[in-house]
Amino acid sequence: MAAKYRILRTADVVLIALLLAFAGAFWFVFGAPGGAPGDTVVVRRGGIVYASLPLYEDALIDVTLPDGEVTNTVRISGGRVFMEYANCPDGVCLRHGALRGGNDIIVCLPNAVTVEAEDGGDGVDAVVR
Amino acid sequence: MSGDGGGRKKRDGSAARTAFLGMFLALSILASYVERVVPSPVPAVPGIKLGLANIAPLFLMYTRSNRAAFGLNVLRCLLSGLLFTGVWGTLYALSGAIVSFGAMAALKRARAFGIVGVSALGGVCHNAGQLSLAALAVRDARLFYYLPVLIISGVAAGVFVGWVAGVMIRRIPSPAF
Repeated sequence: MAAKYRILRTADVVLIALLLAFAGAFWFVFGAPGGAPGDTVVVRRGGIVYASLPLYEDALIDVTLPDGEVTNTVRISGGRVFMEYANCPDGVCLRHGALRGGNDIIVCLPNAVTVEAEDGGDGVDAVVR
Repeated sequence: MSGDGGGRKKRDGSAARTAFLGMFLALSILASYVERVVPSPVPAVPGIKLGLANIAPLFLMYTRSNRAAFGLNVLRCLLSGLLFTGVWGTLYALSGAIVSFGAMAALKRARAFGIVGVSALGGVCHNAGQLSLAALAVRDARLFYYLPVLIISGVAAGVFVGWVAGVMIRRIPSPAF
C-alpha cells in the first residue's frame, strides 16, 4: 500500500457535486414526496389494484392470499392511512406510519403490496404525475 | 474462505489469510446487526442507513483485492440476511451490494478518484439498485420519487464510510500474506 495516500481527491468532490446536482434536478423535475393526498385509498398487490376505498370512511382492509392467509392489514382511520399488520419479518411498512401526502407510498416489499392515497376517478393524472 | 480461489494449493500464509478474512467477515456481520438494532436516522424513508457493514469490504478492496472484498460482501449479505431479515431481505441486500460493488470497482480503476468518491458512488448505486428492485417487485415506477432522497443519503453514508475506511487504511498496517 502506498505510504502517501489521499482519502479525498479533487475528482471525488466533483463526483459528489454531480450526484447531488442530479438529485436536485430530479427533485425539481419530478417533484418531492409529499403534496396534497388524494381522496381515495388504493391498495395494490404486484401492481394490480386489490382494493380502492374512500379516505374519509374508516375501514380495515385485509390483503389475503388465495388460501385465506392474511399478509397485510391496512387501516383507514379518521383520514389517516397506515399499515396495521404485515406478516413479513422486516416490518418496514409498519414503521412507515401514516401516509403523508399524494406522492407518499407505503410499500411492503416481501408481499409486493403498496398503499397510496390517490385522486378518485382521475387515474391518468395519478399515474403520470 | 472468500477470495481464496477454492482448491488452490496451500501456500505460505493461507491460514493467516483465512483468519484475517474471517475476522473481517465477523466484523461486518456485527456491523449489520448494530445497524439493525439502532433506529434509522430518517425513519420516514425506508432504506436510509449508514452502511457501517460496508467499511470492511471497502477496506479489503483497497488493501487486498476486489475478489476478497466481493467474496466477503456476498457472504456478509447471505449470513446477516438469513440471520436477521429472511430470504427477501437477503435478496434485497445482495442486489444493492452487487450493484454498488460493480460501480466501486469500476470507479477505483479510473485512478483519479479517492476512497471517499468511490464509496460515495457505491452508496448511491446501492440505494439505486435496491430502489429499482423494489419498483420492479411492486410494479410501480412511482417509487422513484424517493430517488433524490436516496441519492443524498447514499452520498452522505458513502462519504462517511469511505472516510472511516480511509482512516483505517492509514492506521492499520496491511498484513503481509
